[in-house]
Amino acid sequence: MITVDEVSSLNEKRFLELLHREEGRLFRIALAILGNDADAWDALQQTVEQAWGKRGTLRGSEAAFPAWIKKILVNCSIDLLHRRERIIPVDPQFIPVVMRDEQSPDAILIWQLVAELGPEFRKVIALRYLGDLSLEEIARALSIPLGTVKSRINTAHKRLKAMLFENEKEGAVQLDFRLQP
Amino acid sequence: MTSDFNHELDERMGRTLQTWSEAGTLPPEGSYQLERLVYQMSHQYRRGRLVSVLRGTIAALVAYITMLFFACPAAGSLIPAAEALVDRGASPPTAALEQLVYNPAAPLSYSTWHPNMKGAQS
Repeated sequence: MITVDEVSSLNEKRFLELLHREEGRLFRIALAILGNDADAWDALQQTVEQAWGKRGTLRGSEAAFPAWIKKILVNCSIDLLHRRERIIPVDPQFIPVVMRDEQSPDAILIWQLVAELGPEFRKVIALRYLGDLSLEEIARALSIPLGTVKSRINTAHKRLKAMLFENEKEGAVQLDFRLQP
Repeated sequence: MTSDFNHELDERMGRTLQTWSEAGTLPPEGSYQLERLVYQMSHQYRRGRLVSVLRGTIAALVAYITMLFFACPAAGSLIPAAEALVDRGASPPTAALEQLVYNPAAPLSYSTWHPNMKGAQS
């Protein structure tokens, strides 16, 4: 016979198994949205707290866990973004942080591009490509006009296009390590 | 052509960033801290459940004992018979009503509450 405690510990173990599979990805998404390790860690902890509290709503559909917890993380990150925006300036060390141990030349290129364009672009790009939010949702989340979101995505595309063109001309990805400690 | 290229760039950015995020790992101490957080929340949840079960049990016991006390004739039951109420000076309709409220299963005679019929039976 399974006692209530056993069921509860089983749920706890299963929750942790599912969480451990996702935690690295979740941390990187939060890092991309928020721009520094400390805030990304805060967002991840808040996400785990909220997900644990709402875990009953996921019963019987564990396959939905990655998308479900990502949605919670994106919402927590947006909340944190609003709270932190007024207090702490965006970490200038952000790009070296996201690029450490990075092997993919495309990813290096994109984060270099984001470094050039600035934090306002980083938020839009992170929410669009990692948070899977629509342009309207991004506009609402960042309290900016829809046109601004579109123009930032468009600018990012144009700059990426130019960078790809330059790199193809030079034949190699040039890295800018000026900000690296 | 331009729109195709933009679409390709859009897809490329999306794919690259998804791959980048999926390659992320937390350091072991980060994983351990998350684990500890979940165990703490689980412990609090169990404690909260135990406390609420205990509170419910205690409230039910208190209610049961109180009802037993009020219904016990030796302790001066608060559930009066209709006749006793009439003897205490309550008007017959009130007595009948109270009898109904306290003990709806008991048969209620017409003479119990009708003032004109009260004397007719005796």
